[in-house]
Amino acid sequence: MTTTPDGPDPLRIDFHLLDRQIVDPAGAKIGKVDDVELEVGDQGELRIAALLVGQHVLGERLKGAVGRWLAAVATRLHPEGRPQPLRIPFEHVTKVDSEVIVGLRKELFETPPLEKWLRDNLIGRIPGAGHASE
Amino acid sequence: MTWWRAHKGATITAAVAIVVLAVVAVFALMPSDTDDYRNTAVKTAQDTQSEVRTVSLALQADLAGKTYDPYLSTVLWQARYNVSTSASDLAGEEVPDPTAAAVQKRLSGLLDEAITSIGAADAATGIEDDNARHQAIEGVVHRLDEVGSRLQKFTEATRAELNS
Amino acid sequence: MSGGAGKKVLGVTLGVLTAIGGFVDIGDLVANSQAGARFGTRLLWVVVLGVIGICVFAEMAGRVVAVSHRPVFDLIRERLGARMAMVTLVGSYLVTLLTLGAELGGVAIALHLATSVNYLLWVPVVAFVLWVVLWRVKFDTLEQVFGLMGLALIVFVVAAFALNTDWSKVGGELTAAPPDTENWMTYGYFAVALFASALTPYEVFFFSSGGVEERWNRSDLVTSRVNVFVGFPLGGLLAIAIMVCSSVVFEPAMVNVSNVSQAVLPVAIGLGKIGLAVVILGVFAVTFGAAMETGLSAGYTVAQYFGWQWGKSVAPKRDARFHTVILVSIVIGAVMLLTTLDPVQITEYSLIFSAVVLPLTYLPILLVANDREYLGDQVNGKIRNALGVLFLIIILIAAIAAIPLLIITGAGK
Repeated sequence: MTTTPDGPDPLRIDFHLLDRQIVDPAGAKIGKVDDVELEVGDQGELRIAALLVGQHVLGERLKGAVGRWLAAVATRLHPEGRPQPLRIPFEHVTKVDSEVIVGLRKELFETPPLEKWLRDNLIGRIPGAGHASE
Repeated sequence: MTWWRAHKGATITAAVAIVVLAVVAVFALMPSDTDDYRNTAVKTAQDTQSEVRTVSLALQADLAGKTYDPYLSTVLWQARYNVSTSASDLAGEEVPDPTAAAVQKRLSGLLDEAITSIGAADAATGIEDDNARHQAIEGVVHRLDEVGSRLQKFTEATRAELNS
Repeated sequence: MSGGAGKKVLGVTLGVLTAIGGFVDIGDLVANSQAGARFGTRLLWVVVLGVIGICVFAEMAGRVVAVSHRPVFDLIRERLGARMAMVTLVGSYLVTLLTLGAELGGVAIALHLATSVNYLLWVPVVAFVLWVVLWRVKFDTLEQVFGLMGLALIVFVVAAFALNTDWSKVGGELTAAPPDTENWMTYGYFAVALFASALTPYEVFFFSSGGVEERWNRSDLVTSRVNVFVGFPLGGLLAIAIMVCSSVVFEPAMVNVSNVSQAVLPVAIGLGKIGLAVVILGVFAVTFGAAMETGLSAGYTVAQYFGWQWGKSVAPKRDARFHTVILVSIVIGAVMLLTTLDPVQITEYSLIFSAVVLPLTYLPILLVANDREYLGDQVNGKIRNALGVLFLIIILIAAIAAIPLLIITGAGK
């Protein structure tokens, strides 16, 4: 593994990563660690390749009735019915704390389809959507 | 076995839903007996008594110059609405036997009286002339209190029959 | 006194006053009036118990926010796992929605009482104004305005004295068994409702999310504690006054309370026109304040479960999903009322279902308040843990008893 983020050692996927909030350096919320992608390293050891964000992968991880339902809703809400998780390569993770902090700005990641659709078709069309509250 | 595993959550949810629906359906469709009818009658009488006495209390407060019109008219509207809803709910109940029919007859007379008294309260509060209004309201308060105690007696008597 | 210290004192005072007004909402108003009318002050101890419970857990949630900057629903997902948290999310969202509907109904009824224009005509107006407020206006200003206006409910305390309350009767009933016209089942049902009215889950969602948005840190711990330990008990005093007033006027007449118009009648009888006007203003303020809190909480819970951007410090188009949840929730709340479902009955059900989801809300707070990774030196001490565990057991008992009592008593009838 090339870089290790600041954080607990040893880092436990289930306890320190899964279900935690992911934020960018400015604190903007990117999503939750809905699942992680593992890969086999040079010495045959398992290591974390990426964090996965998305309702669909969350549903697939959970399995059971709740999981299937979550995945089905995610598929239904996706414009093409083929939801893809947001994949954050683990080397971008700079710190694992009560939040998982990544080194890239939120704008550099693709906007989730539901957020984009609601922004373009509903919320963004209401007057005043572009300013924070006064 | 694998099917059960894969669908455990959904099956349990479905089973719970079916049981709940079945219980609701049984309660809704079960032919009511005299005691059920008495219970419903007691509840209706109590609710009506509450409304009637609330109107009386509000009118007395009005006589003492302690309320104002929008409030008073809202209290009257609410009472009228609730009592007529209770009355029509009771009318929709199936009357299972002659004993229940006797209960029904006694109570529906009281409900009618409650509704007309609240109507009289409406009329009395609308009177322009201060003196006449005052007298009319006093009359209505008296009438409401009488209906209230008759409803209370009905409740107590019917409860006693239930417990005997 | 330096400007900074003066500002701090002002902040504490405002916070306390806001907490007093903010403690009472439609649930407290309905549950305390009903319990007072049917049980006198025999259930008063439940209000006291509920106030201690909300103090214990609100203090923990405040400490967690100030030290770890995590709102409560983040913790629920981290500690209960994504699956159990989903169950909690569905449960608490539905309860918050029901409560939102009840609060909207309360605002509309207060307007009905003030204008005699039917509350159903007010519902769309109130819903729209609520949405505009949550869309545009900076929240803490409004929270303070409505919290301060809610202090008008102090008239219940004044009325309790003006009504020539027989305080020896009040005292004698404190430990008494239910009256002849009631039984232990209805006693239990109203006890659960009263307990839930003090501990409603949306309060901690709102409280902790607000703390995160205002970037609380360790230096805010004192302020937060004073607000909780002074504000909530004084708010509980208002709830008790509502119960006492209702018991004086309605219990002897054997009147059951089923309308908001009845709940304010004791104040009119005790204090006359001015009292009546003030109490209606107070009901309007606390229900509108609570409608804002429940509307936001609906958005907070969903957004925090999924990790979406949330909050009022960013432009709505940057947290479109959060604002959509709020918008949809307000619409559902308004539609629920427009079907002519009775707001008081919606309130009763919202309290009972609140009791059911309470353990899932409060357990994660207790767990995290013991976690050194989150709280460092600010973890719970022995006394706080003993209280936390004790109240969690009580909450669990209330949760288990809630639905059976609802069915057995036919919603307390």
